[in-house]
Amino acid sequence: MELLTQQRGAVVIVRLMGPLTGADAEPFKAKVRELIRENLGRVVIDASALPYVDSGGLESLADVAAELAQGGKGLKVCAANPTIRQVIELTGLAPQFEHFDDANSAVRSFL
Amino acid sequence: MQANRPVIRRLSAARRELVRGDSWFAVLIFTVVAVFLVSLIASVWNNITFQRGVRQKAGAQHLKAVGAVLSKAAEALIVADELSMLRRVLVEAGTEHKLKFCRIVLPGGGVLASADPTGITVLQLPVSWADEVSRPTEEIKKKVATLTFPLIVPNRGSATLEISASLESEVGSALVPQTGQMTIACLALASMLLVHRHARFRLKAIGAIQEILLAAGEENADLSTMELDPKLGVEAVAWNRLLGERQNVQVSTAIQQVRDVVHEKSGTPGELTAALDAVPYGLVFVNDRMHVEHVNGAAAVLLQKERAQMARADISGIISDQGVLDALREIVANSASKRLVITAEQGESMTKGVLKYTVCPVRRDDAHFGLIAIEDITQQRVAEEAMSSFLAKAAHELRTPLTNVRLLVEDALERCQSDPTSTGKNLNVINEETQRLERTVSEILSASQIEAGSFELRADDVHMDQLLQQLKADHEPQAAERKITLEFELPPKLPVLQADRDKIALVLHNLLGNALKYTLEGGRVVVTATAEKGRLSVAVADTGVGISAEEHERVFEKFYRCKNPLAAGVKGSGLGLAIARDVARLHGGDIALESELGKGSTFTLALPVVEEAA
Repeated sequence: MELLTQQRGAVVIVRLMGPLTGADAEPFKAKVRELIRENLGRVVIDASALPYVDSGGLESLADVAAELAQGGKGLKVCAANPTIRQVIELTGLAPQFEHFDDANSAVRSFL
Repeated sequence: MQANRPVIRRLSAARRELVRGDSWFAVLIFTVVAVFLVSLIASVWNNITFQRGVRQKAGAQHLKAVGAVLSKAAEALIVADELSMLRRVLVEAGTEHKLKFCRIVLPGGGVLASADPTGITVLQLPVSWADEVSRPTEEIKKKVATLTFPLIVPNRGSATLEISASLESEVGSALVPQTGQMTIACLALASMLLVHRHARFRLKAIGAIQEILLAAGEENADLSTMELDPKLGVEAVAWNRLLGERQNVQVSTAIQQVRDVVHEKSGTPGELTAALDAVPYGLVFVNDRMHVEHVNGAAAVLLQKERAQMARADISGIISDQGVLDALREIVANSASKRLVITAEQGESMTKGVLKYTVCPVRRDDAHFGLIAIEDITQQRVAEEAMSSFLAKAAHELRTPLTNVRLLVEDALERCQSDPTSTGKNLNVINEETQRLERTVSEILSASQIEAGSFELRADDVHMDQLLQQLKADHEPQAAERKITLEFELPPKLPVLQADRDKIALVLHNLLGNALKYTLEGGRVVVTATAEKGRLSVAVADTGVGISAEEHERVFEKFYRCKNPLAAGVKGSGLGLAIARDVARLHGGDIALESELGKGSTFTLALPVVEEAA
């Protein structure tokens, strides 16, 4: 999996290119943690190019969400495909994420 | 209620005096001593009575012996007519034996001889007298013994010897040591009882304390019922004072606990800590020594510090902004009571962070605390700046063609009669300028729609080969006019995208239009398309003026125009690339730039190709 970052104003959009699996979990978490620290939590996960997530990948997303929650913030995810959204709903993780239809709405939520 | 209290206290104190302190041991000691005293008195009394009886009996025996000797002597002396001798013997016997009386009485009642000479009634010894034989008698009445002895004088008659003596003096003298012993023993026992009573009174308080302690150990006794009657002595008073102090300590501990709950001073994460962590604003409580008392999760994130490091640390080592520190110092010194809002940038660029610190005092009864609320306003600040810059640039972009139009209209109005040819030229230029104005307004609208998130994509099948063919057809005349070689290197088959056809066409037109605009005559523009790994890339490469490395990112900013002097004459709003990149990104793609000044640029549009099954 590849991670692309884009700066939109003061917000960083992390685009996940390819599936997020347990094997990618640690580098993914490390990179997102770094971005969260650098940008004071203004991070959006763009899931538009994320075809699927396995249990390990979901766990890493939940971990990042839990870390953000300790700082009074939520993990903003945008443009996740219906399958991924369904998985998130079924696993009961939905309340831990803020989901937006597109990156712009997610970025605007920081205003 | 107040009036009843002393009564209740007295009653409960009386109950305690009965119940508490009188241990079975004290009662036993008291009983034993009392029984011992009674038995001692009884035995002494018994002894006295016994001694008295013995003494009386001995006195009576002594008197009887004296009487017997005297009677024999009297008989002999009367026979010998020695009356004076008889009388002397009686006097001496009376004196010697402390007799009450000692006399010889004749049958007629006459007293022949007596220890008391005044009692003699028969002065001379008769020759003979009646002979009445009497029996010896013995009478003891009121501690006085009276004995009679019959005297038989042959040939003369009979007489009676009467002697009497008090037994009292004998008994009294015998009782002196007994009385002394008894008195000493009684006094000793009485003093023992007094000592015991006093000791018991003193021990009562200690016994009561012991009972209270035992009761307190068994049940969770209320301290208020453990109070003792102060009459029980200094121990009770001291106990009550200790209880009072303990109660004060308990009350102050309870107050402290309540305070801790309210202020969440304790390190344990309680509900309040969890609630503070859920707040998106950073909160830092600073105590009167300028040390961090509490910090929430958001503050640790915003200040880019570890939370554990911040706890109890000096605030000046955490926040570097002097304005915030000065405001805090004033607050903890109690010289400031108003809140202060300070905005400070963090890091080298504004996008790294703009924090709004609100410093305000927190009143606690014992100290002055300061609260710093930290808010991340970076995105707001960036958006505000972008908005003002956008407005300024948009106004400029709109004014330039408008000014041109106004000048040309004025010129045309002046010359319309004299020079119709120039009017025609002017009208052409006005037409171009209004078209430019229209394009600019349209681009501004697109840009603002993207900015506002209301830019809508109508996803449809986009046949890329058709789109690129159309693009080629549209731009070939312009390329030919400027003597630029335009080439399209396309694979035999290109995928069909799910995208907004018009917007993708707009992006490609912008990229190719820019390439043609910024390429000098005789140059070359090549459009290449490749499809691989679910991704379609369209690269537009030119041999134009090129873009310096510093400007690579800036050319995508709204209204940014290239500073290259070779491109100075090229017209444009500076919105095209910004819109192109936003459109690409809205489609999940991006635009990358590779360029070198003077050698040309390559803009690559990458778009995702959505597979059938995700």
